Amino acid sequence: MLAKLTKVTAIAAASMFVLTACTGTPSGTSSAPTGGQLPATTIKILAPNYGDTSKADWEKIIAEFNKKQPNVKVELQMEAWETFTDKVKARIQANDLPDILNDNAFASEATTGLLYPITEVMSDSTVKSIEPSLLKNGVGPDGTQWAAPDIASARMMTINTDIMSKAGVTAAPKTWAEMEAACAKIVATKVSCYGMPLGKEEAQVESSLWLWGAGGDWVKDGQLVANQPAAVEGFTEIKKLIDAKATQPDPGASNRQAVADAFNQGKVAMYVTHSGLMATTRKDFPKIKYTLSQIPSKDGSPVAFGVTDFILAFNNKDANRKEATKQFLDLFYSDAMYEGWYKGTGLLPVTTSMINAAKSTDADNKDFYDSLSYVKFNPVSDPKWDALKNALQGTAGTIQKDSPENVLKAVQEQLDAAS
Amino acid sequence: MSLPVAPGRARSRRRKEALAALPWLAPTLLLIAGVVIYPAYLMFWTAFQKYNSYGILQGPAGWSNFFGKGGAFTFPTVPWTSVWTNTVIWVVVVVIMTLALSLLLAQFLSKDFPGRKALRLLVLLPWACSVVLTTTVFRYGLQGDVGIFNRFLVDTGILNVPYGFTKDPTAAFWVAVFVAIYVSLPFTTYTILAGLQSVPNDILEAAHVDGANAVQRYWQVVFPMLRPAIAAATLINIINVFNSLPILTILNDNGGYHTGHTTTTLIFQFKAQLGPGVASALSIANFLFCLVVVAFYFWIVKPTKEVQ
Amino acid sequence: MATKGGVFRKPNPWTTAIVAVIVAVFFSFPYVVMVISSLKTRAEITQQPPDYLPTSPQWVNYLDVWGYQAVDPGQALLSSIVVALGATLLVLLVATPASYYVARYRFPGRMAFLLLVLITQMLQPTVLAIGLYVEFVQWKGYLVWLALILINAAFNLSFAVWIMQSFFASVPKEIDEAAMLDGLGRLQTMFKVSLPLVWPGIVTAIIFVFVNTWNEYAAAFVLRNDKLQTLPVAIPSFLGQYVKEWHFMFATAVVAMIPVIILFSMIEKRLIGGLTAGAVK
Repeated sequence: MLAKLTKVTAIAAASMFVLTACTGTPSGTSSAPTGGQLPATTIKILAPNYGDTSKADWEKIIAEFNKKQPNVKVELQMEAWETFTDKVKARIQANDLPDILNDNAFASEATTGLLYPITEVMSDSTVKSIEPSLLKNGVGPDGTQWAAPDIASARMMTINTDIMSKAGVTAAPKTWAEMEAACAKIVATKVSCYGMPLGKEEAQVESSLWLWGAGGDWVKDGQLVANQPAAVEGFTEIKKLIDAKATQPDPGASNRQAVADAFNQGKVAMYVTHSGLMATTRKDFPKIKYTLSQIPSKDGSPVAFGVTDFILAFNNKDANRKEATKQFLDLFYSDAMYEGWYKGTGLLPVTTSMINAAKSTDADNKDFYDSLSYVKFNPVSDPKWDALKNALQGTAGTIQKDSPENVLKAVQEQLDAAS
Repeated sequence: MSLPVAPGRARSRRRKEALAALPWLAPTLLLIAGVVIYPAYLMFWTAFQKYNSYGILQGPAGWSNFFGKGGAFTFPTVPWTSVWTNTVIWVVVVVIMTLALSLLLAQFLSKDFPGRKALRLLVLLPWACSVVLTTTVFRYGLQGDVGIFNRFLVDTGILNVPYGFTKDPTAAFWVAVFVAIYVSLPFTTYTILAGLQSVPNDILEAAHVDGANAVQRYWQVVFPMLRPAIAAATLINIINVFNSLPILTILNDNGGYHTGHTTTTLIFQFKAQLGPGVASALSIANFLFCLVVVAFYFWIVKPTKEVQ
Repeated sequence: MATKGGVFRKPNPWTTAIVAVIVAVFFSFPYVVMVISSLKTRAEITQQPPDYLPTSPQWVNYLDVWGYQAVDPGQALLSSIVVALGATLLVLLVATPASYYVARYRFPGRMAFLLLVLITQMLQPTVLAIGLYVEFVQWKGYLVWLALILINAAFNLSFAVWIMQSFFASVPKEIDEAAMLDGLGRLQTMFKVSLPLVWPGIVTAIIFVFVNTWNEYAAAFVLRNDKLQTLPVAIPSFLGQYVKEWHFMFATAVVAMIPVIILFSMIEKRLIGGLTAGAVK
């Protein structure tokens, strides 16, 4: 803990220097900020809790921002992820639009014309500081950059090496066939092989992994399609694992945290994880030895799941708020501020400079950074994705008792009816 | 001359009386108008409006929220047979079981024995602790992995391996039935206890002298006198149980349109996934059901008779 | 009274004792589990399979829970108390004059009024939740408390009017008339003369409104706000997608249980009296 703290402080100090050197705008009060001081106004931020420090991390940036813009009041509202979408909906319905929203989707807001293109509220240099392959994820179907990623996360397979060697599995499985063979051996040691969260929180992630593993994609000819051959193939493989009792009990109603808990207790040999969950394992369950690996696919080509969350800016038709938003976001993405913020999320950074810095210093997450080169994303920019996501979350779990064809037919029907 | 005047006078007298009552009743009327009737109107209105997935109003929808492509009653994959059966089972089984157990319990608690007061207080616990808190204990206890009740069931040999009660929609539904009975017992028991107290002792003694045995005395003397208590408790239970949302949602770990829904939980599922319009459409069905219950109640109990 | 042996013969004391123990266990086991679980560490509560008892009771959970970030138990407790007290008070203020007047006077529209009250008794916030949501979604900040107070008061009003009017009706009219001859106004008569006589009815009404509001979930759920949410809505948020803080949740639950248990044990006796004269009559 102390070591980590020292490291953070050291990096923060170093990047403070970098910031001062590069942009020439020290964070002190000596030089007036660009555009001078704004008149009294309020900007509102709505953001989810990534971890215990999320609120404090935002407040740190707000305090820094207020040093430059003392007249701008920043209202911060933090919400738990579980109810976050409801909250966003409620704010929109109440016409209480946050100037800055940190969310995992942007398609619905973009199609209703409520947003500024994010490039209008970020200076060019800030936009350019974001890793292009990640930035792309915030482009809507109309080609407009509606959102900017603010954190990234990659998901890979983690495997308990003790269980692996006890079961006599020598290498992390890369293909489905290897995985089935490994699972047969692991299940024989009375431990669940694969933690599969197909419940209402994570089914949209888990389903995609197996679809991609079969070489498919949700988007076909510009349309979201659930009931397609690759999906059937993926779900057939899911069902194979469930029927072979290779998964934990009740995969159809499990979420990722439950699976992670089981992994930390040594009850599950492998599951698809992210850097935040592995940080908990290292810290609270040091006895668990693990290795990270690509997610198995049919032919062995590597699969990893990428997620970016986004910053969205709502159009409140107020020039001062817009300018304040812009200055806030420029500050937010500055290395000095962004570094502490992204570390508080336990996830991966999106700015090129931070990714490069982290690659060399953050050995624990090296595999995750490497996987960023082949991660695939769910089609979050498609306005119909919400309908597909809802359908998967509610229905994918029924694969436990139903055939892949029936499950995907039901998902497709819901997708068609809801969009 | 006098004939046409009399009704007019009567009318103005009646108006005066009604006006005199108004200040006393106005706050009640206002509250009911503002927070019961107006939202009911809003709900009907909402049912005929189209909303996008973020709940933003898109314009009139006609009947599409009811029977359209993504309408409440026509949305694909909703297992309606389960939903209707569950709703009926939920209300009927919970209300009847609660009543049966409460009759026994009240009979027992009306006896004189040491520690009766303490026991009566214990029986109040599920009523005093919020339904959500009680339900959450069951949710925790019945988890397949960390649940203490599961451990107990395995230790006592009732189960071979822990069972994820909350993971299977049907099992979760039946657990919810149990919990709903559990939390309804205190109120019902107390209402019947109150009823038992109003059974005069001399009637019982008279029955005793007549040579009636205990069972006969119960069914022929006590039970009929409990009727008002039973009617009141049953009515309140029907309404409470039918409208109960948290027990079913907290105990069920499944998402989507599973086989553990009642119409009430389905409304909230629709609200989250299809927006307020579709949810309102189904709410109206529930609302009409409540009105049917009211009508039945008036027909059977005739509650306005006694205040006439 | 059924106390002297009741309808049945005097039972075997052993049978009574055994039944009493079964009843006691049946009605307390979830709450015993709640207390025990609130004293476990996070590791103990997520242990698979679980142990029945914590190795050493973690009383510190009861301190730590107040600093827990994802849910604010203090705020939830405060919200629940404010809303429950507010609704109870409002109901008393509104229902007392109405029930008094209805019980004392015959006037045109009286039947219609009672019918309206009865019909609203059949409705609950759940069935109108979407409408309430549309009505109150704009109410932000502390107005959420006011909205919830109004909602809970409105939906519990009918029960209070109904039960209190039957109590007022049981007070002989002559008492009131004597008071009014002494020069008291109607309102004064109600407050000074009738009200003290119908105290059991009021207690019953208070309990009902308070407990129903304390438990109300649907309206509190659709109107919830990150800062102001009542306990029933806040409690499940301890079990998020990313965290499962069962021990903190149960610690909050135990704290929340205490005031209501105290309230109930204070009025247990009156409760039966109130129900006897009111709902059951």
